[in-house]
Amino acid sequence: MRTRRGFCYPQTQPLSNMCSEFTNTHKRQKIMLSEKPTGEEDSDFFDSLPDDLVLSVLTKLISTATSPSDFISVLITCKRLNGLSLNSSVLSKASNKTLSVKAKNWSDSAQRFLKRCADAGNIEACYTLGMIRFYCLQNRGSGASLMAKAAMKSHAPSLYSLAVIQFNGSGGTKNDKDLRAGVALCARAAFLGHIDGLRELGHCLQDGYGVKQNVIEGRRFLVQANARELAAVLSNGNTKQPLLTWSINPFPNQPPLLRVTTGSGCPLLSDFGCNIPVQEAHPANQFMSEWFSIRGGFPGQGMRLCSNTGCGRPETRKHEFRRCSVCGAVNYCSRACQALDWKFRHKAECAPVERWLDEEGEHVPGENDGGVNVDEVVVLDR
Amino acid sequence: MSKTVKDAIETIPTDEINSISLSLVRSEILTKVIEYCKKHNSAQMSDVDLMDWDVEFANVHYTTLFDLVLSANYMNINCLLDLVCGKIADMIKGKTPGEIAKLFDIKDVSTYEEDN
Repeated sequence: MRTRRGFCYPQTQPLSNMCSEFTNTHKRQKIMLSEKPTGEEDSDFFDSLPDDLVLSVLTKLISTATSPSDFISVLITCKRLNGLSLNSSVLSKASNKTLSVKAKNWSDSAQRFLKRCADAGNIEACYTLGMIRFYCLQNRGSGASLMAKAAMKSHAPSLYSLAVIQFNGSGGTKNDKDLRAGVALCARAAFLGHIDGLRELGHCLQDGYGVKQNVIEGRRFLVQANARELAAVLSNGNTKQPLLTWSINPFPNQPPLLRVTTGSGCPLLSDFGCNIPVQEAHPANQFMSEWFSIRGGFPGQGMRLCSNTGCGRPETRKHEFRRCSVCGAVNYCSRACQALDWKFRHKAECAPVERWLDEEGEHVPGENDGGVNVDEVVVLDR
Repeated sequence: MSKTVKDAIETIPTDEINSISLSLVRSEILTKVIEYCKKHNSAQMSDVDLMDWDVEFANVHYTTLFDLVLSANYMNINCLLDLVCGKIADMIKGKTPGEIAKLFDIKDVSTYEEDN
């Protein structure tokens, strides 16, 4: 047994009385942890604060935490903090990063934590848990209803995800596809400024898919999506060193080019001479990518993942996704993913093998597709 | 800045005011609060400098921080309350439960298996 004087901690002795208090506390806590906790006569610092102030501190913590563990460690510190942390006013303020559970750490308690946050009214938790339940745990009904709950509060990613589900008839048969519903949901996401939603809507208008064809309007939405993406990257980049600089082009006749200063960006808007990196994926998408890569990369017998690595969506039945019409080697859950992956990766490696028809008998639209060169200003001949 | 003080001034007729009692606030904490209010009321510093000053201001021992929270709550100064709550939250972040318990002298520690 350690003594009160801290004899077994020789290094603390020169620091005199102050340290002996800490070793006391440390010793007593050690005893506490090994026995049942008894009623304690001294109070801790948090005891001096009334509940509502502790709630303020916890709310600040949960909204600024950078990972779930920052917050979870408070939950298991003591009874009072546990009780107060699970208060719905705190959980409803959980930020994206607090909810970004890693797929390898998935467990019942992680699910319960997300469920509690969702029940407290946290929209991101509703969306994240909805996506996980729908795609990873294969619980279609519960997943869709959670996403619908978030969508009703105008959460743009939820609206877009539900649109993708409608377009593909995910969770059902191919007859469950509802293109008009998909377009309506997409439009709502687009009007909230969701970049993928804008892209998807643009493509639907160009192709007359689920909505009356209007190529000019479609083009407008696609350009808007690109502009928003660029603006988002620029506004994020302000906090670190600038990602983009103007460089003087060696050929004075041409306009100066925007270049990435750090490392290699993806040629997202290479047609405009801009090189910007891809935006970080939502925690729900990251979870799905990790989940399926842990399980060997295939969601089930003969089913594939969306080839856009930032998306992570799996098929829910065979041949649900559309293939690239040029090479047929890659599949996408939506046109937005297809356009993104084309610029990011596929353009360099796509090579015509044979002209494929989609397995479900529908021709994948677009002559110069797979690569839909949609980001070029020149309108393609159709 | 302090709603409590403002309300006190408004409710008591001006010729009767000699002093306003702030019974829950210790004098050294009151000094810090006054320093904060003065700094934020003078428009001399830019926003960025003010943020840096706030970080320096909040860089105190946690006993002082807890006292500041109580005082800011009592005196109803929202921005100071946010600052200090944020600072305490930052101190909690990144620590294991054992470290948190040790830092804040929490005695009633039990192990919880529930929430991971």
